[in-house]
Formats: sequence, structure tokens, C-alpha cells
Amino acid sequence: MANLKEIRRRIASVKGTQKITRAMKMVAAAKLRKAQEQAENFREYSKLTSDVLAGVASDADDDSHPLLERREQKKALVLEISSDRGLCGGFNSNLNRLVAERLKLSDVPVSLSVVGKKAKSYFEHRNVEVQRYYADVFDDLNYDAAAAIAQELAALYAAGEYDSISLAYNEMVSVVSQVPKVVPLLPLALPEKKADDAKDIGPAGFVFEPEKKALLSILLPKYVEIKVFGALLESLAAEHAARMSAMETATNNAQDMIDSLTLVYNRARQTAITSELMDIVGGAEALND
Amino acid sequence: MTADVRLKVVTPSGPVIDETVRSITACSEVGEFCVLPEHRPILASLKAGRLMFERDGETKVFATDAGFFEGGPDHVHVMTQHCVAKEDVISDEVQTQLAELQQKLNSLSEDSAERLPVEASIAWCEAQIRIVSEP
Repeated sequence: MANLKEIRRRIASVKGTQKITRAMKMVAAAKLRKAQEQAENFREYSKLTSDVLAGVASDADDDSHPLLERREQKKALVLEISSDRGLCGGFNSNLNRLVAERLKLSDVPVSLSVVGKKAKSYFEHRNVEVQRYYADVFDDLNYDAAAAIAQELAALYAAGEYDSISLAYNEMVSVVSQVPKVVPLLPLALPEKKADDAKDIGPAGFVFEPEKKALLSILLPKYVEIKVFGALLESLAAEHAARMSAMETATNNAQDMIDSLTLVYNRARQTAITSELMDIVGGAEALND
Repeated sequence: MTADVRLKVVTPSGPVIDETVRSITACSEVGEFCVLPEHRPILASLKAGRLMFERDGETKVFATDAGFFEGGPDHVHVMTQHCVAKEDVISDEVQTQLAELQQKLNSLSEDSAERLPVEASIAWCEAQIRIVSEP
């Protein structure tokens, strides 16, 4: 009988876990919707600013601004965007592995800065120095926080501390697929001017206030901010999507476990009943004799 | 000949204004300027200040943060970090925020890189206060 009680206890415990994973899945789904909405709201600002920059910078050369300047690679920096919380499947571990590999295989010394507690603890545990840790960015993700990070990166690049700066983050391909990737941030690659865009900034007749070069020096740092904020938003949405899938799988696994434990429980119960019946029948027959 | 201009103001947290208007007045780094339909293409860097537009004989006033103003004959796009209607500015809150920012600025050293964003936030707060206090 002790065995039956034990199985009942295990079933109750798995059911408890299942309740938690199901609730976490629903929370992640709600947060994913919010993150996607935030990304959607940002899209127009990002597009219009990029279009303007593409137009203004169409005839700018690489030397016209420190953020465009391409230098010989001596030192690089990677900013890894991970998450503050776990329980999101391979979201952080895949990205950490990719970045660790990048650090190991690079020809030039690569420094590492991180957003999110998970990457920080991963690399600190492996004795990799983290240059700068940006804390609590995801508590309330807003443009100002991203702008502060971007300004710091731009200042480091302009001062010649690093000859290239990249962003490493998870791209949200779909709700079920997040792909870790490393993309170059600085030197800045200017946005492509789309052929179908009727807007043509640059020819004579356009009024610039202030003059074009001054405008470019205001627009370029803004573009770095946009890229950083865009990556943070994408990573946040990908994190919630990854957590949603992970919790969905956990809930399904819990159900499978409950089903198989229930089967074991029923079988054990039937065995106990049968053996009790045998005892009764045996006892009755002994009396008849 | 277009009679109106489509004005769109977008911020990182979403579009704020999307209206068809008669005229738009904004503050560039150089000074205040007005845009009417059929204006020459213009690209200006805006400083934190007042953005006004006229629609159906009615003038609306907004406070905008620093940003960009891109205009053509029939459209104007304003990209800025913050934009709020004059009547939605909560003076007391902005005053408190401004006091906090000024305190923060005073605690930073003269050559600190953190001064710039704080100064930009102060300019934004001051612009809101200025616009609210205008008649």
C-alpha cells in the first residue's frame, strides 16, 4: 500500500509543476504580444530615420565621420544581449556558445560587454573578463536605456578603443525559432537607399538646416541608437517566444508523465485488489474445508 | 497643387500625430520656421521646443524633443524621442524631474560622458515648461 501512496504523491507533485509551467507559458505569451507591439511601434520611427540617413549620406565617404571610418583590425568588442531570466530553453546557451566560439577563434583580441544576467554569469564562471555589464535593461525596456548604451559604444569607437564593435543577439525568426547571430554595428554600414523610394535627398534644391555635414553628425549616432534598440527589442521578443515554447514542451512532458504514472498507479491498485480477493477466497475455502 | 500637408510625428514608442494640416511651425537648431503646402524639400535638425500646426482654422501646440524634420511638397515627417500635446504636459511632474536632473548634472564632473544625455533631458523638460507657461 505504501507504494500506491508514493505514486499518488508523485502524480500530485507533477500536476503541481504542470500548473506552474502552464501559467508561465501564458505569462510568456502575454509578454511576447507586448514585446511585439513595442517592436511594431518602433518600426516606423526606425524606418523614417533610416530613410532620411540613407538620403543624406548617399554621397558621404567613409572618412566623413568617425563612426564611418574603417580601420585596420587590432581590437574588437562584442556586445552580447542575453536575458535576465532562465527557463527559456536554449535561448541563452546557444548564444553564449556562439559568442564564446567567436572570442576563441578571432584573430584579434576581442573584448566582451553584456546585457542580461545570464551571459554575465556564464562568462564569469568561465573566467572570461566582462568589460561592461549593463544591468536591469530589460526591467523596463525603453529607448533611453538603449540610447545610453549606444552612445557609450559610439564614444568607444570614435576614441579608437576598438576597431570594430558587433552585437550578438537572438533573432526571432518565428515564435518557434530563434537564431543566435553576431552582426557588425561599428563602423556603421549605411542603410541602403531603396529604389522605389521616391524620396531623394541630396540634389540641389533641398534645404538643409544646419548644413549637410552637421546633420550627418547628428544622424549617425541616432542610427547607432536605433540599431541597438532594435536588437534589444528583437532579443526581448525572442526571449519570450523561447520561454513560451519551452514551457509548452514542459507542460506536455508533465502530461505524459502524469499519464504513465496514472497507468502504473491503476495497475498497482488492481494488483492490490486481486491479491486481497485471493486472500478472501483462500480464507473462505479454508473455512469450507 | 496640394492644398494640405500630411503631418506625421513618430517616436520610438509609436506614432503620435498623423493628420492632414494647413501649416506647420517647428524649431530647428537655427531658428523657428514654418512649412506650408508646396514647400521646398527640407531636412532640419530640431531642438527641443514647440511644434505647432494649423488644421481647420484651429492651432494645436505640441512640445517635441530634439529630432529631425523631413518635409516635401505634400508631407512632413517629424522623428523625435518625445512629443506631447501642450494640454497633456503635467507641469508639476516635469518640474520635479527637472530638479532631479539638475541635481544629477551638478554631481557629474565637467568632462563626464554622461553629461550629454542629462543635458538633453534637461532641454526637453525646459521646453515643456516653456510651452505650458506660454499664453
